[in-house]
Amino acid sequence: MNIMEHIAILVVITPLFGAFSTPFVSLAGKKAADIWVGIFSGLTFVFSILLGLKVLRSGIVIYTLGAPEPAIATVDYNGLIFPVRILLEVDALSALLALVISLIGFFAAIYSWRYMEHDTGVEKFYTLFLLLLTGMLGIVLTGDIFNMYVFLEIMSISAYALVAFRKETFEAVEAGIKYLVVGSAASTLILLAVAILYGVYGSLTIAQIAHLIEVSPSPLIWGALALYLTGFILKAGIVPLHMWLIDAHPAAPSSISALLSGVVIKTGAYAIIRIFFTLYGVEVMNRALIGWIIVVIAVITMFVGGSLGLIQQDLKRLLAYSSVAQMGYIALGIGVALIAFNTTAGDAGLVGALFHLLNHAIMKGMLFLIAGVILHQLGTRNINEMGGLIKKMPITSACFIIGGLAIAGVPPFNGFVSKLILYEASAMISPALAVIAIISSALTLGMYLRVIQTAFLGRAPETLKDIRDPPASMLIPIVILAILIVIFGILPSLPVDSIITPAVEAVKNQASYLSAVLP
Amino acid sequence: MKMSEKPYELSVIVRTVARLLFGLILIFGFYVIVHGHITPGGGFQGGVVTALAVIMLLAAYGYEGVVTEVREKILERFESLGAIMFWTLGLVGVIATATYFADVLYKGTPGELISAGTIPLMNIAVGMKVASGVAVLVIIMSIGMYYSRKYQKAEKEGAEE
Repeated sequence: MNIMEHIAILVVITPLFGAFSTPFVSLAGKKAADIWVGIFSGLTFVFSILLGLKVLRSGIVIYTLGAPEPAIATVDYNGLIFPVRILLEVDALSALLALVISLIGFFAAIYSWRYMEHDTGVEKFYTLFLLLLTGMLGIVLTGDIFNMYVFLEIMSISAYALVAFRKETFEAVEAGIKYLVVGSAASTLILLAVAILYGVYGSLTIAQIAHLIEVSPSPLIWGALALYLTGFILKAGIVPLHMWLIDAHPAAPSSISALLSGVVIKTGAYAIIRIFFTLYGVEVMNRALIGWIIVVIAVITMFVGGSLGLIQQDLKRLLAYSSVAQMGYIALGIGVALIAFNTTAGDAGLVGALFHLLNHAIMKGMLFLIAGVILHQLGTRNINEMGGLIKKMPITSACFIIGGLAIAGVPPFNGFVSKLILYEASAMISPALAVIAIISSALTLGMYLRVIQTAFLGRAPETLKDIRDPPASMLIPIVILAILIVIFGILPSLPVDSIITPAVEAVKNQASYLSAVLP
Repeated sequence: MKMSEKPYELSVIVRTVARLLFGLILIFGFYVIVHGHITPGGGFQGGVVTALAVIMLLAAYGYEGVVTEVREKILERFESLGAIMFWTLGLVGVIATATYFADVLYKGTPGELISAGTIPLMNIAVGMKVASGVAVLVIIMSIGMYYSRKYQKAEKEGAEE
């Protein structure tokens, strides 16, 4: 058995096995479960790297489940050749997302060791955690719309349960039920879109449907597009469907908040990109109309997230609003890329969107982990009860300041680079867009400066005496993410050339995605 | 009419019938699971039928009567075991130099019980997972009902005093 041949499916099934074996391993104690989860999320990360290398080296990777050979995607039925099996189709975009997801997942798992030490039912937490990872990786790797829905449900249902994990608090249960109701509605819309496409074209494989849409676009597919868009906009937490995010992300345990804000909402953005650029293709749709709809939504999202975040007293709630604002930037990039497809502006929009997606996963993952440290050490999330933390926990505070400035787009951090690319791209479409984006960025800066000023600088209240930096297993993930922020800020060409540009090429090149599967 | 000593139980007729039917429902559930690849139904449907046996006992005997016999901790382990079994059967395809979930075992004649390679085994794994999963869900819900009833009762008694 050659590992590289099966690498695509290994990325999905490794956390799946880890999830269901954790209840047995935890019989040997919490320590064993900790190490088990660390091993499996680490293995997933390693496999994601290997998968990414394989994609960069040899192009799109096809893995057909149940076929005699992984690369055989089609069946020959009396001379009629079409794909019928479930298949994973991994291009550079999927590989990029898988890498980001498994990176944040690995760090969140390590962080959870000490963070969850006071909670009961940790084996259930770990099972759900790894299932959440499985769901996200499945969404980004699959080449089948129904399969995507199934993984979306795996991801969403574990996320509902994880949000309500600390069930002794009213807030968590309320947020969990709210997320459950709203999220199920979105899932239903997505399922309906899948049903419409299957009813019209009789296939579930993305490549096959894309080919058929190109050949004979039916008017029904626009209904499916509307349903898809509504569903995934909700999953991505973009205004006006962001109301669940504000409750759900703060209520979850912090390592889960890091995953939810860092990568779960990114799968929504991934699905939107995949549907627009690959499933439908830019040729058949009215690019300008749909692009402008996305841009308007994006601008509102940035503004709402930024301005409502300014007045929050709860640190994690503030971070959640900031996530909404940053999803607006990613959506802005997607919208610009749609309006000006295959021009300099469009390419810059895609580069900006994908780079900001990567950066925001790192930044917000780190910031939520730090919020968790503060909650763990101080027992409060209220900004006004904090103060002078930089003297008590210097490393954590320095990392928070780096992350806060990075997310606000201050040089020399990574957020500055991706936001600058987005400003440039949107200014080429309409200067007003860039102005709004910069104003929203200033709102974000204001929001983080307030936190830095009140919580980290200034005088420490009398109550906060025995506070220090967290144990190493919580601190190391934070520090590594902070280092990544600085490296990506100083040497942006490093990630852009090696992983972002191939992903952008993959998004633009619908034909090669199709020809990898179809004869 | 004299109240039963165990108010959570239903009448003796219901309890007797439930006791008699318990084994039959289990066997029917197993039948649907095992014949999943040649008749309508399958692992999921058969698993739900199997779990119905536990649900019926819960209805007839109440949570206090059932919890001594059916322990949800063990059922939870069975659920994970079903998932691991399914996962491992998928891996058989990889080991046999094909792909994940490839059907590589003995295929047999279509329509016979021993046929279709790994599919019946996967039905058994799914049946195990669904049966224990649904049973655990219902037991946990009845735990909730049990405690909320107890709480209400204690509250009422407190108010009377």
